[in-house]
Amino acid sequence: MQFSVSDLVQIILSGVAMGSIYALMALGFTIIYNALRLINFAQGDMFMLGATFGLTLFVMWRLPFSVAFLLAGLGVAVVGMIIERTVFRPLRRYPVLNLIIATIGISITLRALALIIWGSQALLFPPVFGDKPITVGKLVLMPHYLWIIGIAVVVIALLQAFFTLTLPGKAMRATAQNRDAAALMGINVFRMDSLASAISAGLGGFGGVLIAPVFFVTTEMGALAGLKGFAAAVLGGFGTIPGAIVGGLVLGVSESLAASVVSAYRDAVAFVILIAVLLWRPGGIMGRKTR
Amino acid sequence: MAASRLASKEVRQVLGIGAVCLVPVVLRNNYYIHLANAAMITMIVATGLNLLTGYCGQISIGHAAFWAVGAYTSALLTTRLGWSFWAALPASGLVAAVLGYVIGRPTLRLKGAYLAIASIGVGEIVQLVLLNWTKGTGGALGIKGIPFPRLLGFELATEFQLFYLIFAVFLTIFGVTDGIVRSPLGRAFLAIRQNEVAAQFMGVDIARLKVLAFVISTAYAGVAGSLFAHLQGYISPYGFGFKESVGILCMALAGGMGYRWGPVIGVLLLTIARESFRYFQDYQLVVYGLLLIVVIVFMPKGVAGSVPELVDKWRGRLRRRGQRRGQPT
Amino acid sequence: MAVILDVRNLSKSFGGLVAIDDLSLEVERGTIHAIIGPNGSGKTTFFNLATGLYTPDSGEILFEGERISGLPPHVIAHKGIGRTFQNLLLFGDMTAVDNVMVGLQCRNRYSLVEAILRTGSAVTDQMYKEATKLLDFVRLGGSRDQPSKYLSYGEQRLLEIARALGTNPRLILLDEPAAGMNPQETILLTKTIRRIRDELGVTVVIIEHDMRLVMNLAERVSVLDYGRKVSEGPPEVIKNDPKVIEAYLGVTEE
Repeated sequence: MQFSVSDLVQIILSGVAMGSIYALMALGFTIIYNALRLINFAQGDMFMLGATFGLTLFVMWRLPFSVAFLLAGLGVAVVGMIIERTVFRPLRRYPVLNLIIATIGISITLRALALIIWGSQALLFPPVFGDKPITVGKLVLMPHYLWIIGIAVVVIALLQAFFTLTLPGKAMRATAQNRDAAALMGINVFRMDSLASAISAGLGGFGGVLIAPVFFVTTEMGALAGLKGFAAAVLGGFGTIPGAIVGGLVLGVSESLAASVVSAYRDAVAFVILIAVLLWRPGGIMGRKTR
Repeated sequence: MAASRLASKEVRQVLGIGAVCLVPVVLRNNYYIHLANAAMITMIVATGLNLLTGYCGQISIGHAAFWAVGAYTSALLTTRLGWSFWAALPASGLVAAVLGYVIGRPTLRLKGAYLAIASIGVGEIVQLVLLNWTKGTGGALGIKGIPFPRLLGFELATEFQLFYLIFAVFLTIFGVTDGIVRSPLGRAFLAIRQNEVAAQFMGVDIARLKVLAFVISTAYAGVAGSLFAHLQGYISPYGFGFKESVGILCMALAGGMGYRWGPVIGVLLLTIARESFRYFQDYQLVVYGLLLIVVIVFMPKGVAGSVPELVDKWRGRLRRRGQRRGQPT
Repeated sequence: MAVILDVRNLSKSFGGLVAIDDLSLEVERGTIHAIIGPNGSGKTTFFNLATGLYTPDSGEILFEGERISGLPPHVIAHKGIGRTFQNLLLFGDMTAVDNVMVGLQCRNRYSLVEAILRTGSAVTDQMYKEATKLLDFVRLGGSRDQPSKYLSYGEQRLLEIARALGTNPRLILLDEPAAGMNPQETILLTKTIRRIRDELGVTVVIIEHDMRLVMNLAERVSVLDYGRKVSEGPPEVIKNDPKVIEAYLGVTEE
């Protein structure tokens, strides 16, 4: 198989775009893991809710895309906050497995509710980023990939600013490092859990509404996206923010490259890499080598 | 006295088995017998998960993959190579166990939730292979015409007949598991779950035993897969995914991890729940998901663990009330 | 062979922190040997090296003339070294007797099939009896069917000793066995430790902060400071060694 330079740029661009989405998902997993030591299997459904909320706001209510985008993300964040308050908080004392299974219960419930509201048909989200390719010299670029990358960069930059510049952001990092010490310093750790849950849900939501104009919207779309986001988080080194971003990008690009060779196994790439990383570098690409 | 206790225990066992044997006669309806058959197959997988998680403390979130491997092994051996069911059944367990060993050995040497994470990956990969390796697995169409098991020249072709076959296999697995749990091996498993660090200083080879628990549980899943293939007569890659993996894990947890009857109770409870929620139609899964959350929040040890505790609490309250009425002590 | 545990030029550091620094030490068979030193002087690290939790950076440990450093913990347990833990690591939901039975299982190695077949009540009864004997030995016979997490602090320490004895060790390492015990319990513990040596013939190495107990019990004392051995000898000598006083109190001899 022969690739031209233009093909290769195209492949890598779409890989980086998908990778940005995975990075948002992986960040969602990471932030809630750092706060609650919890692998949240409902994270994929936050992604789905972002897309479906966005669809309703943009197509049904005819809001401008930028407003629909923001409201969808915030709406999913509110859902995350409600979940933390009603399910995670009462379960804090119990073994992790219970919490994990509870997130699965949440996932089943949300997906079933979404099915009732939006139906089982794949829904089309109109292309908002324009579908005319841009030509730069010999290169042909799809505009929606550029938009996705741009918006994801802004979201991640804002998140980083939140963690390093604002007081609640710093408090959240402190809580993640040492919960008891943070509580002794007067930080309301439960509020931090709530905030972490909201942010991680919101990140999933933004990912969903960003990807919606590229793919169809279905109530099952969160399942695979969630697992891949999780794979990306492990790949980069679970529990670290740079790890989540690098993991997402590496996954997106390698998936895109692999898909251009063996398209049937596109979805297997994430999990093959996942297992390879666990075997040879369990701390992740960015993590220390632990053995 | 010991002899009479033993006798009564055996009598109880025979009565219990006899009662289960009457189930299909009482149910009569083919659909219900089919549900019972499917439930027993699920119980086999859940029993393995209980051994792995409830006793040995390790978590697998991809067990449907081993179930699928068992089902496909049995289906391919009987349809392509003309093996008999009786040879394919143990072979399925064996193939699943070998895959379990390959996955478990490297991941279980590491501390932490690596098995849980890797098992998710394995689950997805197995499903994609089943779907895309059309030559070997029939791809999305799956494998049709899987023969019914034959016994003494007769074909076990009805749900009613298969009930007894599946029940016999389940009973064997349940008995073996019970034996493991009561043996020194079971005590060593439990020690690992309770305190891995201390266990190794007591001479427990924790890495080896964790792999062993995982291999046993994957072998059970393989055997269950074989039964499933021959019960259905047709298998496809759908129905062995992440959803199924966590579904069985949910059942085992709801029933009570680390309790002998936990998997049986959990599977019965959630199967009956799902069937009765059929009346809610669209809301079936909503109610099911909420039920799961409620069980986890209010019965963190599952039905088998939490109900006796609640009963004890209730009895204690009664006793205390009685004491208050009598003389103060 | 008089020396049961022979430590030669052992070193171990974590990151930049040197926990054990060129430590050499000999434990004579049939003695009660105490290791003392201020907090952070490397005592528990030494136990963790001797029982296989850590691998030394350099140097070696010989048990009965055989090199054991670098072997995994369960292999060392099978070779005959038992231990207890400073921060109590029991199997909390299991009964006292079951805790000891986990230790007892160390005495035999079964194959998988054997292990499953050995569920017969005769075998279990036999193990139960042996476990009960060990619990009686440490005076815990009365609470044998209690889940271990419901035992008092002092009782949990005794249960750890019984569990370690279950593995049939020839050498037992006790990490602060008297911590959290009241004076009466400490006196009983002293007697129990002496009986472990006298009646069971097990060599005892003990880390302890309670100096009265150490002086009472030990025949030989090694003093560690910053991972180095600063002094060694019979308790009477150690008591008056200015180096030891310095290590504990930080007083310079001037």
